[in-house]
Amino acid sequence: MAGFTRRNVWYNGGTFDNSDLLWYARGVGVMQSRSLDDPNSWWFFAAIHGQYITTGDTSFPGWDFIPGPPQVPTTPLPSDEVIARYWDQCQHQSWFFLPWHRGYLIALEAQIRSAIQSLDGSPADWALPYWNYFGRDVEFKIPPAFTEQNLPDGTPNPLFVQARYGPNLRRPGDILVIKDTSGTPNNPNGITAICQNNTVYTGFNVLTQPPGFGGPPSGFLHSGGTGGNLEGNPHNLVHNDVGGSKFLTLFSVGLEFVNDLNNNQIAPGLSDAFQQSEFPLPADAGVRRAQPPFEFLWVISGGTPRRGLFVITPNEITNMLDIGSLTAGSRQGGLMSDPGMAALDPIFYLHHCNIDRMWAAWNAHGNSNETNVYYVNGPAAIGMRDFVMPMPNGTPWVYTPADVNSLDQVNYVYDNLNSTISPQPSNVLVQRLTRLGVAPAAASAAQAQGANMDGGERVELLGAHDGALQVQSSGARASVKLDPDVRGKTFASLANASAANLPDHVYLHLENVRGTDDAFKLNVSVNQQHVGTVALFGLRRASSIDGQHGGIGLNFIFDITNVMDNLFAANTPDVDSLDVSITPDDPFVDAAQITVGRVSVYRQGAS
Amino acid sequence: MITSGRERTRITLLILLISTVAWMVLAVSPGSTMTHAHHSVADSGVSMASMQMPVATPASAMPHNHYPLTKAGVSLDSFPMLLPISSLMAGWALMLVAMMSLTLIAPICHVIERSFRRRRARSVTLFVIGYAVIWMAAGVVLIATMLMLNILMPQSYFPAVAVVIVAFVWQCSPIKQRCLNRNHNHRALAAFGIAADRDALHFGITHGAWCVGSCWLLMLLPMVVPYGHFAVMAVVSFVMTDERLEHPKPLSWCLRPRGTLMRMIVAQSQIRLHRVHSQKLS
Repeated sequence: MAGFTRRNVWYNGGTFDNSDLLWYARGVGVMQSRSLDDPNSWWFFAAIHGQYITTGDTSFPGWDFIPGPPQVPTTPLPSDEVIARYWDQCQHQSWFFLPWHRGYLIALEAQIRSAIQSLDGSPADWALPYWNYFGRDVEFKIPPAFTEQNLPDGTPNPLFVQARYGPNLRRPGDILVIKDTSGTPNNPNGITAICQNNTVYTGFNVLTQPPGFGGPPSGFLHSGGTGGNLEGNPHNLVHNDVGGSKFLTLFSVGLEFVNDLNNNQIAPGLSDAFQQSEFPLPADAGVRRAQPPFEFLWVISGGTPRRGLFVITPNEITNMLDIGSLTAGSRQGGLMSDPGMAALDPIFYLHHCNIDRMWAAWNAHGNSNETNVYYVNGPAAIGMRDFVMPMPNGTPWVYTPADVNSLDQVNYVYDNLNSTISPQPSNVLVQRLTRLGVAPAAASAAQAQGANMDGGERVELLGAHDGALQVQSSGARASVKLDPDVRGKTFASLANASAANLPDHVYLHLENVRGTDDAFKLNVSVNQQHVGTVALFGLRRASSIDGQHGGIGLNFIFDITNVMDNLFAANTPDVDSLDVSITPDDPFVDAAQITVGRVSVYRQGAS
Repeated sequence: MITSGRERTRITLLILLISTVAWMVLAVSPGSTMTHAHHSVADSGVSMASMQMPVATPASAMPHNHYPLTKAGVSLDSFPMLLPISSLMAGWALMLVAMMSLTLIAPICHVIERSFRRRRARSVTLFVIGYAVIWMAAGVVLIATMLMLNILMPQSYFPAVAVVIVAFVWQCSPIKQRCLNRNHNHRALAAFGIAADRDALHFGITHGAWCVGSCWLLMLLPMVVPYGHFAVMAVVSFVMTDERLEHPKPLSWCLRPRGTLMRMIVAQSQIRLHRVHSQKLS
């Protein structure tokens, strides 16, 4: 029975006039006053999602090196047994992504509600607000209550976070999410709710890109592999837009070092300057000039791969007008950009509340969750860790996806489930079949057979670029060679498309994407046509060879069906390759060591 | 997940079938195992006449209870005649098929998903060849070790106890965990031409190398026990499959309690019993 209503954070302008926000801030404050080893503390809850305390990091993102506020504690640690049971639980690139986070929010909400009970005037029906960045007007911006340094009573605002930088490196502190402006719903360049049109939780069909709305089958999976469609967009993009990254200035030196830098040498004077800074150069430091068009950017790397050092012209980033010196600095991500820090930022829970609302809206729209026994019973059904949360009464709550499958089973509702639903593309199949030459009436008949049409069981490799790519400041390019036989099958399916023979869908894969910095987005184009933007949220953890998934990295899937349709329409049946371009969202990518293991193309069809 | 669930199920069932057949051969015809061939010698010691018997008789045809040998022991110069190397290696290969197949489901699915459909069989074959070459090479060393121990201490439990102790230490070591972790690292594979063949083979070799690093002591154990080879093989196989179900972990010296496979069996049994119970009620 629903006892609580979760409301839009932007009521009353997203300020502390919204009592949900004021009491959230006070509750966060109470939880932050507790120690790390207290399961009811803010820090313990953040570590449940993911942490860099026990990982032995000697620099950022180790929690000891997070710039405050908040001042993040790293002691006292709970026992090893407690850490093993509770910490590093968040499920990503998994069909458990949605149910795990639903349980996590329920527990956090209960903790906040319990925390504010001891305060005068607290409401008994407080519920977690959601941040609907798809809302009207300025709702794509972070609510003002999160950027105020103080609460109305003048005390420090627990919702304020220093390491929250926003999507633009040149305007740190401008916190917003970038909406899709591509005009092609399947190939967005910003956040979109297009996944709400999916009709399959795990899998694919005409309206659902693989691996499905909710994610691929998995066991207990903290990081690594391919994320579900809702997880990829908007979830990941919002994380990286909000967290963003900042250029941290170390020191300035004169222009006399430019010639040495251009010769890939570090002059003694520059080395001395680093030595005197808080980041002395490692013994194996090397320098190289960034790729064009960044004429005045040099990358110095070496030592721990997590530390990137840069030398740039001052006006490149710092907007200083003095061009008589160079500025050395380092790029550092925000809390929200990395799953090992994200839940330290109070905006995290409002973002996930909206993701949970989108899931509820998707169900309310008539879509069903996965019913596979391995999903319903959770990872414990295959012998792995179970999902467990500390509740305010001191008892652990163990749950499975079956326990949180619908809002009917939990104690809250949303005040609005409508606004995230994009218009259903009722004629998407008609349009495509018509474009491929099928008579409009027949195409309409195909659409009428239902949106859930199976797009075909057969999935096979259509082409690939053999060899790994390194994403540099200028990006990376690959010529993806197509296999003539498989290409022939795809074009034949397009030529013979009908209501009975649905044409192939074609997907581009970026496989085994690895790197050391999550706070990047990659824009991907095929034949100069934008096919999607992805955020690398979770990259560092997925790339750790001794991490939970063996360092396989992340995989990304892009729908390039329309690219192949266009090639077919242009009567180029003998096209032998696709030109794939990968461009980072800012040039300081070199030190992040981002690599793509393989770029490939797959067809999905009936035969 | 690139292939459909149905396709993955088909691959899994095929590998299960292969493993099951190998286990059945081992169960029905114990003489075909390298360990039992070894047993028949070890149990009884060696005489010159009897030593020539296995050379002339395929190991698989050797009666399980045929112990013509004396307790006289053996000298090192007689051991090349003990059993034909081909029989020993065939028995070893059968052991591998039975015990290791299940651990190969994930990497084989990886190879299949990343290969052109017409090349899938070829790529999987190359992967398996690479994997098998490494394990067969390891087998030569392990078999030699087994024979040496058998010659020096026939019918003794001491080698088995020693292997258990060393295996326990190995299981707790960071090297063991490193090997297990690397087995989860499924690399990108080239798709075209000789590069695709090379990558599939290389993946098999590296996967096999990490697998040997992880399992060599466990595989040695059933070879050195004087009795109960089949049971020990089953237990070891269970342990190795269980280890592969675990996620990679940080490298350190520690006792790593496992049990994922047992927990899975218990949980699945409960789920099925519950389902049957619910169906009866309805």
